[in-house]
Amino acid sequence: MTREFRATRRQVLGYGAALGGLWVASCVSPATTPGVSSGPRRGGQAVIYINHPDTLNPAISPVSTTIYNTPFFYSGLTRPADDYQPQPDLAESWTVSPDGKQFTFKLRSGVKFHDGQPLTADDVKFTWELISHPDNLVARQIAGFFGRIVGANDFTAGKATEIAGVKIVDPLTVQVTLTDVYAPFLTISAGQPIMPKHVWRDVAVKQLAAHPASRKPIGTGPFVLDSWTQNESIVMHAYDEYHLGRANLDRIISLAPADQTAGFNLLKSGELDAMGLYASVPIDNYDEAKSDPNIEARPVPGLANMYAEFNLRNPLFADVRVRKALSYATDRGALRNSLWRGQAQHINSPIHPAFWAAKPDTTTFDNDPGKAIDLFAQAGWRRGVDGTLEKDGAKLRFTMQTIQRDYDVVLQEQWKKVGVDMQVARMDFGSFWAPLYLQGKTELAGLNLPFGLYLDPDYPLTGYFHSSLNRNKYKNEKVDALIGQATATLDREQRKQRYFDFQETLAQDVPHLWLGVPNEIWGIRKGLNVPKKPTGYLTIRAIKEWYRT
Amino acid sequence: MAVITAPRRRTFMIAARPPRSRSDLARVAPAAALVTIVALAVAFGPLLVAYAPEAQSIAERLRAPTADHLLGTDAFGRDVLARLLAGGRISLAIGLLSMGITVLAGVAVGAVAGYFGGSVDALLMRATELVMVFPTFFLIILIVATFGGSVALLILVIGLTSWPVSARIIRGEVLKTRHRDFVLAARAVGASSWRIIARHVLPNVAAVVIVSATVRVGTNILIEAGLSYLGLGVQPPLASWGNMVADGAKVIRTEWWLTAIPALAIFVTVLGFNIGGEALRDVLDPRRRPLR
Amino acid sequence: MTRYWAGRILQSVPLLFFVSVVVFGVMRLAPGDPSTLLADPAYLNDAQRAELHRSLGLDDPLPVQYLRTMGGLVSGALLSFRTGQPTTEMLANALPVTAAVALLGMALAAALGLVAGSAAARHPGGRLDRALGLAMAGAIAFPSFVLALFLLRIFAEGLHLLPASGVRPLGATGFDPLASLPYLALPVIVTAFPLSAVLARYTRDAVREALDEDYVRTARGKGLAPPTVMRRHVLRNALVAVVSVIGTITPLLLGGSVIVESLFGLPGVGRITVAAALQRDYPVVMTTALFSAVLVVLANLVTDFVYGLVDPRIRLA
Repeated sequence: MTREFRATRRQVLGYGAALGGLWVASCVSPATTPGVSSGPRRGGQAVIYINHPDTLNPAISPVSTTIYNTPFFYSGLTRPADDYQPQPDLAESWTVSPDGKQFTFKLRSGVKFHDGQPLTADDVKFTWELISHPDNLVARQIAGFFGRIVGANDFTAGKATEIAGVKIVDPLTVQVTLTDVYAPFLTISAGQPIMPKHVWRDVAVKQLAAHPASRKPIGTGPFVLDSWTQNESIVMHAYDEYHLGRANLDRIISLAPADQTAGFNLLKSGELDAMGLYASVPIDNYDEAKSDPNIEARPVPGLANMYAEFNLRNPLFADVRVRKALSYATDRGALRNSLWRGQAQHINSPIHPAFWAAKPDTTTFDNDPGKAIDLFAQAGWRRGVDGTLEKDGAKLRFTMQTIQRDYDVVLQEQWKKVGVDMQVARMDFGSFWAPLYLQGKTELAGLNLPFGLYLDPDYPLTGYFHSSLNRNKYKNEKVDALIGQATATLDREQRKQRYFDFQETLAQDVPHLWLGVPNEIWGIRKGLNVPKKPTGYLTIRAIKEWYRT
Repeated sequence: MAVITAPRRRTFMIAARPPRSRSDLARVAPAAALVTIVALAVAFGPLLVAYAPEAQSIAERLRAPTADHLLGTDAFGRDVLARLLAGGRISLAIGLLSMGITVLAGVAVGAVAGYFGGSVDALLMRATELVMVFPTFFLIILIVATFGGSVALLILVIGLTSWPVSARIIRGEVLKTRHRDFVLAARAVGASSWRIIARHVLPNVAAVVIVSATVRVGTNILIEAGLSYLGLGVQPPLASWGNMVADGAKVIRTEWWLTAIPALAIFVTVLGFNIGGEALRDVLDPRRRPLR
Repeated sequence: MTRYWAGRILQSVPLLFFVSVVVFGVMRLAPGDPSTLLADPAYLNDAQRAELHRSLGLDDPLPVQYLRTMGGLVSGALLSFRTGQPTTEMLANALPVTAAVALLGMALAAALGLVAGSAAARHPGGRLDRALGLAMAGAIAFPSFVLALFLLRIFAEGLHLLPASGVRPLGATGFDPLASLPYLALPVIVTAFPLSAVLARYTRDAVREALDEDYVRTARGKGLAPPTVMRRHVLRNALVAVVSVIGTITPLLLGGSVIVESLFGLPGVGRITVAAALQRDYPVVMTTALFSAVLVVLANLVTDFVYGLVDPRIRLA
């Protein structure tokens, strides 16, 4: 599920995709390498298009739009470097205990919220408790990032009045004790935006969404919100006292055109300076953008991994030979070259290619119709008179329930060639998600994995692939164990080995067909300098460094 | 998009008209020809096209029209002509079948209300108003967005939301017919109400029904196109003119014909039905003949 | 008289009740559970999942939910599931845009329609009548979204004359009609285009009919100069015709707003409604749907009222 919600034609179209990286929770904090050069010019404004959020309250929304819109206004204790190593942000430094279970964060002094109030350790503890609060049901996913803190689960269960493992040592020092080693804590958890206690203290948790500050955030981020008109614009100006140094741009206007096509029209006509993330230049318009002398078209790996998920409850798909055969029947290169006009890459894994943990050479059973037919034969499926595969008089026929409106028809055509009769049922996200997918009622589910917005490769793995949470009944104890082990050490090299092992094991079982990661094409108009970053999310996190030339 | 038909205000005094004159034929001919050509094309055209409308050829995507692909290919390398004809079948089927529902419901409600009058009329007209209060396109969008855009649902929803206008027009006509001599005469000889409606009233409003039905087809095709353009209507890989325009619009600067061709098809077809309705009205209603 | 109008207004209450029940029903029958769209159920245990479902009020019996929704609507306390904002506030923010486009579109259409319609009626069957008749048929047959695509290509991208998206200058807040005019130009034209053809037809028919009426013939016979006749009787008739369709076209305008707003990126009611329907944000859908119904009812009342003023024969029919 990748694109997020945009109330528009295309959104309607891609609604499937909509609600996009919904189930994303991650950390958000403001951006950028501090004090770059003295080169960039200060001043001017940028008009951008990156899709608007439902709310700007990071404590209640695990949605992707919230994740990438809040860093304008909020900061976390840490922020990601280009290689996703945690860097100081609100925390100027931290120490780790020898057993890896205790972190002591030293906060930067003199940091002020947009309303002038100073940031203290109280705000940190308050924010984490707000997220973990028993009544804050929509935030459970984010609360999961704090679940490893000693006493956090008791607090969330209502058995304690505070999270025992978070200690305020002094106004600028927070000490966190975890129950076990949890590597994503420094990236995801500590990156979560810190909210002002003095604003939110007296607000009932169930009233959080309705509170005005959910639409007019008061944070410590590089920009201060001026106005937000729904479906139209978010206007913000640079925060002079931003702790990492004032942003180069004076003002940012974030527009909400109807869809990417409309956004691209604005970029062409000069009404827009930059578009990216889920609102990037449509791939169909890439060549056009490239040939426009006033536009830089910059592809970065996108935030959605297109895939189809076999429901292993279905006896047909319970047979690994059938899954493998369908994988062989799939021509990913053709998919990339046609649908995505060459602007996509394939990675046979749920780990974003920009991550250190991604294994680029994972085995893929790709594009070998001969092998596909052999495997079908081994599983007892042979071609009937009409060319369709048959076994015991039954034809190989199934339905793909899909929220994707692109690769479905390509797969259908490709598979027809080996005798597979797949029907396509396109549906909107609401009809797909709860009634079918969560109930395990899909046959082949066509969707996409939102990834790359999270600062640690762990994020989607547990929720989507661990047998305790996945929806397709896939279970491999080795995979389950590796997912856990990969976060149980702070040594990145060791984590990487475990992730590599995980990816290869998963690939051999083929519970999913990974089809490709379409590029996200940033469109940037001449006159605006946007630093090059490995992903779109990191590009937005670097907003402070953007400047007018 | 405002999908609009001009509800007919004008009335017809007599349906039984003198025999058609040549000028009547001349009036209807252009529209009839237009509609017939479209109908024949979508009915038999697919048999003559070498490509299946869903068949993709990745190597031949986005080709300009050539001898091989007379109207070029789309982003999946599918033959545009084949899709245009197949899409036309869907669009016409939706237009005609939903019109059928509209007319049946409209005639039933309108005739009963107009003929019986009194509390029956009041009740039915209140019901008609109920449906009319719905911003129809809005309601259709709501239903199609949440239940998905299958062809059958589209036909049903479009048909069932647009009958009130027909019902009102027909009721108006029936009201006028009700007190005419032949109805009164039939009633005097003891004919049953239903018989009178069927034998005397309905034939007299047939002209209105035909005219409004003709125009309705065009309107309904436009509704379907609008929905499909929004991505709510007919779902790919099934082609419809609306979703072809939507797909084409993504590349309108470079491959403009992918937008223009289906748009033209919609325009020509709807125009055919509209001027057809207009011409029929002129032909069937003597009072509307231009004064010479 | 007052009693008549009071009666008419009272009659619309059951209408609105019916609309609200149908919309409520459609939303509730639609597959999909809004609580699962707010948070990934995989991260909630069964009790939490149930709690979230309950906290949205989805556990109560449907009639209770219905009544609470309606009560919240009236008091303005109804909150969107997704944004947490009062739905009435969301509506109020979006309404001026939709209203501006609709009203300006209607005005432009009425002006064009009256002019073209009366011109066509002057010489029925004449060249002008036929040409205009064909143009009207063409305008009605032309899909608005295609027109919008063309206009955008020409005026926004080609000539850079008009902005392609949005409703007011960058960064501006509040509503300044003058500053917004260039932004509204294309949406208004697209809205008015098919509408003007419809109104032109009405006008043409009405004027033609009026010219045939006895009193006009009489007036002519009395030797009144044609312009006077036109003004006094014929145009009055034409106006009645135009007014009489306002009730009919209001729902069309509201429906059309969905496409126009999505094509031109306008932050209007149509856009929030479609988004809310897809997100199963029941409170928002109920709010906008009911509001639209109220508008249509109002438009019908106004139509009848003006109709009665202009043409006393119809009064209290």
